[in-house]
Amino acid sequence: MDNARGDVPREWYRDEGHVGYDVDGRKIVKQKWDDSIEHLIRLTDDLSYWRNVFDEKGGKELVVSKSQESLELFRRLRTSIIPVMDIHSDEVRLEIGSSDHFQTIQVPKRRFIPSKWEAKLVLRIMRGLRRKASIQLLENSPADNQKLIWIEEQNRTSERNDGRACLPAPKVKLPTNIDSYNPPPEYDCAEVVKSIGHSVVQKIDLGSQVALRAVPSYSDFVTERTHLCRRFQRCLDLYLCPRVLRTRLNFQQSDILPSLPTTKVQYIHLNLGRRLHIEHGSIGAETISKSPKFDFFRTFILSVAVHISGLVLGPIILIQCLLNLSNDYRQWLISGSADSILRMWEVSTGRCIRSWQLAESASCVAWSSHDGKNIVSVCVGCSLVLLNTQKGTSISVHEKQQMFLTCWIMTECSRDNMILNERVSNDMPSWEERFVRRKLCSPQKVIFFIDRKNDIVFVHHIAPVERVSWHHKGDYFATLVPKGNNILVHSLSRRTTRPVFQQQNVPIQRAVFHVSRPWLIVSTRSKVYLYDLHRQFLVKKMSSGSSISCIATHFGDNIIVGCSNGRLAWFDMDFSDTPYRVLASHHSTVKSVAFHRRYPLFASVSDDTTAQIFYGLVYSEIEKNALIVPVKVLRSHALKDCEGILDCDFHPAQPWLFTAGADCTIVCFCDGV
Amino acid sequence: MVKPSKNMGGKSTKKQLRAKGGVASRYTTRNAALNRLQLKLADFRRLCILKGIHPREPKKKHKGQGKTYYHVKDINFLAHEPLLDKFRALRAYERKIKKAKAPYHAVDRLEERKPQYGLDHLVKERYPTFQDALRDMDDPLTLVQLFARLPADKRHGIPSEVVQRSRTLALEFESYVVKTNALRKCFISVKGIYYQAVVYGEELTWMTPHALAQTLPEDVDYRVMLTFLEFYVAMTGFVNYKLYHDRGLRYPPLLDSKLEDNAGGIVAVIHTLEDGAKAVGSGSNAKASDDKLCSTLFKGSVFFIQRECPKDMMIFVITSFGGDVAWDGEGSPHDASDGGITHVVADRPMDGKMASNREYVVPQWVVDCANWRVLIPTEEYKPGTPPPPHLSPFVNSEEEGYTPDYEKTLRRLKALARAAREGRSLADVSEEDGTRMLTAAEEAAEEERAYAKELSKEVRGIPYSKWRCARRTSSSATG
Repeated sequence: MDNARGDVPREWYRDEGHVGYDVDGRKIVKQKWDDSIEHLIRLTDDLSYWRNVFDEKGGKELVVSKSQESLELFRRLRTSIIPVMDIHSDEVRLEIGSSDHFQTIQVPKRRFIPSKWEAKLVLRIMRGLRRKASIQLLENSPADNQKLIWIEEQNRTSERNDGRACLPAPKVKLPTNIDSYNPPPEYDCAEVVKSIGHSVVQKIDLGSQVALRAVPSYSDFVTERTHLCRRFQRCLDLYLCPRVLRTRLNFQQSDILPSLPTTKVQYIHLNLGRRLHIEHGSIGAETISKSPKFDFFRTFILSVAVHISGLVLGPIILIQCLLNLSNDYRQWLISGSADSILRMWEVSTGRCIRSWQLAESASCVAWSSHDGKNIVSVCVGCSLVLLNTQKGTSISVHEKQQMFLTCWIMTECSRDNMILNERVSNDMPSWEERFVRRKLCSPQKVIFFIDRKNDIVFVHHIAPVERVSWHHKGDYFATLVPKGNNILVHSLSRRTTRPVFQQQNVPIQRAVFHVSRPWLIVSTRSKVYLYDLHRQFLVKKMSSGSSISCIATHFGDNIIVGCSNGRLAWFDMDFSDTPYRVLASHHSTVKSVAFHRRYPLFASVSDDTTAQIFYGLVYSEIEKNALIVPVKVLRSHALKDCEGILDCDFHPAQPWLFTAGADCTIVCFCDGV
Repeated sequence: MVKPSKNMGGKSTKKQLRAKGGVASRYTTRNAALNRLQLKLADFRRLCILKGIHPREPKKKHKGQGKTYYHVKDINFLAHEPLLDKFRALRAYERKIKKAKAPYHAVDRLEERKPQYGLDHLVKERYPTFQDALRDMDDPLTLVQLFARLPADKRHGIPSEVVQRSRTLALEFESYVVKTNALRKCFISVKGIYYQAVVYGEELTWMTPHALAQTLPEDVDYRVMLTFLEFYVAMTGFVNYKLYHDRGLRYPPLLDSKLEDNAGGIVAVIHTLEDGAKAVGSGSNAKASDDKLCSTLFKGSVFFIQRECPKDMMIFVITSFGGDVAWDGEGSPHDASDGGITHVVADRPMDGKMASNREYVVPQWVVDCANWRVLIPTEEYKPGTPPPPHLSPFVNSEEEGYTPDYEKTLRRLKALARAAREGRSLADVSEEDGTRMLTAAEEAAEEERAYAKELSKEVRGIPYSKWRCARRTSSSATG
């Protein structure tokens, strides 16, 4: 059945169901191609199938004979080689230009000129051969991994020399028992599960099925995923995390603590704790209970001063006094309270020995000695009253009353200078008084009244007297007049007064004489000034960062300053203008600080009802800094009207601390021997 | 000399403004560094990873808080790197290939003539001595081990050559560890298996994931990991070469193709001596006894590893501690029915199938024995029963402040083994470690004493319950 389609191209039948017509005009149906499976089956079943040729025009399959010639002919036809066997391809030459077909194509120039890069390559090979080096046809050869790059280097250091600090990456943490696939039961507790997370929870659910083959069943996806992710995180850490070299100090806790003195002295100090209560007014009750106006239980004790019977001077004199007066060994404590009564206590028994009624509440009390007499100085209103405690120790009630009256009148009078003479002379003629008036630089005018009979001296100021501080020799004393904004230095023997400043604009907080040197230490709210009185110039100006509330001096070159924010600053005068140490020990205003006169102790009291004892040892060697160790926090007072402890002082000889609280008690903390 | 005025524009002003000292002159931000080096961020990162340069934390961040700061010297150091030119050349070359792609057929030729670079100078530069390199081998080993178990993946850009290379390197290193019996610790954790070996006195710790099909998470930047791997592969190659060279072994080692095809792991590695080289033993005398113990722990034992156990890990641990292995599958040196097999490592219940002349243990037994250097009695490690807790050998219980109960047992076993080995009493040996343990005789004496005490009470007619009560109260009072 021949296809009679003639010259009609095959493509025209592409979309038809037939491929042409036979001689009779019947359609020749298009044969379907075998699909690949059928092809495969036939290829295996039919051994001659591979020789089948599909005649598209005829629409049927033909089988090529097995003969070598016909197969070769087919191969040549299929690979577009000239099918005639006799003609070899190399013999066929097409004359360029002779054929019409090739005439249109222009032969490029590069066909005629020798290749440049080939020439270069040849040249390079030639040169290489000439050098007898290995010929590298390729420009780059991959790095040879298999070579020894670390040759024996004995003296090589691993330090890099390029000047960059080498910061090695921290190593990954090693696994602990908790990471085990089969951890001890104590590492499986619920808290651990919560903190570690998912994988462990699942593992616990497995219970008894602890086996290595069971590991994937509880960690299959999550852990494997996290393993790769964790590696990735590590990679990120290695190249993205900033590295800092942190020098970690390896030390024990005991290494940082200063070496504490372990002598017997220390033992005494550390045992501060026994309390000796002095109820304010245990004796005064009988005398003053008549007048309910003076309810001492509801008043504050404002100031405390401790005194040993005898002289109150430097520490050496004190010891002598003790030796001399061993049979009459008594210690006195003076306290002034807000009920305007000045009381004198016997320290060892806590008895109130004497009391004086004042016109106003005393703002400051202090002990001093002059001409072998123990003098109490009290700041009452505008005047400073000096009392001799030895005189009239056993006065009767009447006398006492008289004396109260006197004091009262004196202070009242002193308020008004003009009528002073008349009233004193009219009402109390029996008293001998002397009137000393000195004109000072205006406006300060100070008048000394002296009551010879009772040994009382009134030093009258124009403005209220805030504080008094005694020079260690007992003749000079300084009073602080805040309204006058000045410090007046008085001489008791000569009855003279001199102001320290011509003019002072910044309000002065405290002024104290140095314990052993001719220095006056003046503090304003922010600064501490140190004046040399002998040579009359400013020695040093020191500043603690916060506002100053109280101040105390060491007999060396040290000052402690209490601040209103609860800090305690220790200034070393040789050291710097800034504190050598700042102790943040209280959380409320430090009301008073005190140095012990014999032992290396100092104390601070505050409104937070605590008193703190510190060990402050100052070495005689200059290069050694002071050793400051907190010793004990003492709590005994109660808070009253937002005020705790108001004043404190050390016993001059014993390691005893007296604190005066707003809860109307004076507490003596003794060593527990 | 005229002082330059502030208004003078141009270069002089800039010169004045340039920082002369302090933080600003020592640190630059990353963007400034990029500008200086004329690099794209990706190239910069690659370079940083290869050179081991990391950001630093200046004391004062003069350009703002959110910036990354590099040391100026680090950046200068990068600027002199030969790789920088290589990177530039590569980038230009990429452009060339891109252009060539459309009309020209020279792409293949261009592809194969791409500029290439080696990292040997970087390895040498970052690790001037071999010890430095060993000290920093933890990360390389872990990453190489990880990639040896990852599938090659076109989508994530993990080429098969890299995976193949990491596999080879990992195998070479493990084989070296086995050959020198350098493995010291092994720990099966939930995350993977940790190994610690001592090579040249350095403790190398690495981790391999559990033998499971690895999934490739999408949120990982594989380019970063591959850059790290590129360096680590180079470094591990050099380290392996040095290790093999020092032992006088041929590098790369030959592989038994038959075993390799059957996933034989380290058993497939055949070590041959280098031509003309002498085998060098590890000369250090320090910790020689421990070394000897490690290499002879499983000596004389033949372990048959059942197919449910992780074969690679088991072979690695057992052979490094001197044991002999056989397994279920092709290439095994011994048959399952071989009479020489002493231990069977199984991880499933073996009830009724246990031969009497063999010890049946779970894989944890092998690891615990290796960690504690003592052959622990196998009763508790029978397959099918939950084994005792698996303790981490990396924990120092003195520093931790807590000793698990099982650790105490193991310590006692260890001391006993040591006493037996050295022919001394237990008390003697344990005293050296700081805690005195009682010998069997002393323990017996103790028991005897307690018994005599009880007996005397009985003779006196005190009931046991009452006596116990009294003893308890007295002990609590004293305690």
